[in-house]
Amino acid sequence: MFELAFQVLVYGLIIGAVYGLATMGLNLIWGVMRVVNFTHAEFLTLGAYTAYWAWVLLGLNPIASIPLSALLGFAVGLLVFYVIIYKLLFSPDIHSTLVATFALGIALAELMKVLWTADYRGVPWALGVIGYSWFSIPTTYVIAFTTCVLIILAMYLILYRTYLGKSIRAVIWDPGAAAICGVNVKRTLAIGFALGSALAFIGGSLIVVYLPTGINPYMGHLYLLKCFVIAVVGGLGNPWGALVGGLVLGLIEQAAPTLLGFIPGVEPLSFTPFIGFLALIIVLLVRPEGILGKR
Amino acid sequence: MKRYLVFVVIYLILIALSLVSTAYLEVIYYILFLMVISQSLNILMGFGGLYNFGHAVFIGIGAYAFALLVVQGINPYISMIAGGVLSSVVALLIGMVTLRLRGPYFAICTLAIVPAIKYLIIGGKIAGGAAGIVLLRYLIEAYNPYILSYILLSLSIIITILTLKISTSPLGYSLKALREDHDAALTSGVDATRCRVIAFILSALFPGVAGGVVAFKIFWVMPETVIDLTWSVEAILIVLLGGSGTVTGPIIGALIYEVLKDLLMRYFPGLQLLIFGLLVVALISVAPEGIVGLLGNRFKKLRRILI
Repeated sequence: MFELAFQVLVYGLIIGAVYGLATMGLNLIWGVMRVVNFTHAEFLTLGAYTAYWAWVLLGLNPIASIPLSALLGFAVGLLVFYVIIYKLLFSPDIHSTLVATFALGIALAELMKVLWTADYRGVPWALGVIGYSWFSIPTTYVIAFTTCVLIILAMYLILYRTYLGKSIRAVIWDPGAAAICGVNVKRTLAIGFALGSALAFIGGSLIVVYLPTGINPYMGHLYLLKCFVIAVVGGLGNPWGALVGGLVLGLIEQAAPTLLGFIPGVEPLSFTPFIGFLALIIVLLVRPEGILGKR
Repeated sequence: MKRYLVFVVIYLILIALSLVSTAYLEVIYYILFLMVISQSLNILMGFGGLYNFGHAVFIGIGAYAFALLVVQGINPYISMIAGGVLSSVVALLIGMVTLRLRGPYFAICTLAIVPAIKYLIIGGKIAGGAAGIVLLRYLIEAYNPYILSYILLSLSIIITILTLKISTSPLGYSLKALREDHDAALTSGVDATRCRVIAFILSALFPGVAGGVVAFKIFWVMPETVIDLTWSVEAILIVLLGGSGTVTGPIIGALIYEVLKDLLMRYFPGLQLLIFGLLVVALISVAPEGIVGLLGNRFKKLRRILI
């Protein structure tokens, strides 16, 4: 029993950290400009494809491809922001960005399908396992987890220790007051969006480590829904909330199939998503602002 | 009367085209289905400003109620109405709990309800689990594509009249007041939760009936096909594309959405969604207030008819 609990805890934390990282970008973009970015799913998928092509063409493993992925994500984010998002931000109905990001997502997914077909692909990156007799874990998982933690730390330093991060947080707090204090709001919004998109790309590249054969143009949608859940459970607009929410969902996803196995008459694996979404609904009703959200 | 003219013209064209050939009938069925789900969504989303991503749940509940009743040997048309009533009851239950949430929290809570119910049915093995219920042998004799399309047509007409009535009723004004300024409306004595729950119930009735029509059309009720988040998103896209909070918006939006999709499928097979996505991005960049808003701003005379 102890072995099982330990296994669930470790795997839950490892998956949860990646979920948290993948959600951070969504959360940052929501926080800075109140845009629900539906293209996030395709940004994740593009990140996964970046890792795949870096592996096939350049021989880089998914971790080594992260700088490339982040740069691409930043560039794509800037492009999308200046071409589409910025004009719509000041339109009478802010939700027109919802349509734009969703439709852009459809177009990007289809573009990927046209370019790279809908076949499932994967990166066969393996470095053996770490562990003792009853507990073992692939080395690549540990490396990915460590990278994840380092990136989250880097995000913390950017957000709390640099002028850029302070201006982003100022814009989250109150765009008008930030502008009065001399923050270039347009540029901050652009960088916030690009940073969010870069985080999504990085998240996508890291997910590749856990998915031996799962890269597909439409894979993002599964994660987008999870990201929404995580973002709200942790607290919308709070990048740390994403981490907490990610860990919560990771633990639920790992623990639920084991626990549900004891209940007769249910299909443990397909019942697990229900538990995850139920947890979200309960959190929302008890604490609508999320676990780490401000009242 | 001018306001009704647009609807009468659109509906007459649809009826005329549906009689021309069965190929048109298929497209018109989808247009009418999209009109029903987007116009019903518009009640809460357009007037109330609340983004309900859970609209697909009502279609699913209608379809499941329809299937379970038809298997018992009950008349399919009565089962459709029962599906609508049941989905309204569920809306009352969901609404009483979730409608206290504001803005994005409501949107994401309803977004989570769709997969939650889907996986509850699959994982809990309810009503056939993932395999669902096959209805072919109960319904094959009663099947008539014209009747199904005309049911959707009458639903669409009823809901359009209802929306017109609501837009100038106390309920409509309360919803709009809540949308514009929640706290100010509360201070003026608007009972927020009550107004929204009523709007939610009304907006759940029609997709519930339409769910029965869908189940009748495909003869198979399955969690993956009848509880489809795509429908929620399509309905929201159509409302925003046409013009949120207007009565003509969802009608014109559904028309343009489906015709565009169909034409692209015919002329650019394989690339249709790529071009469709880019076109929608372009369209919303040009007309952030929706097509009706754009036309209303350009041609002042049209404004009175459209909005």
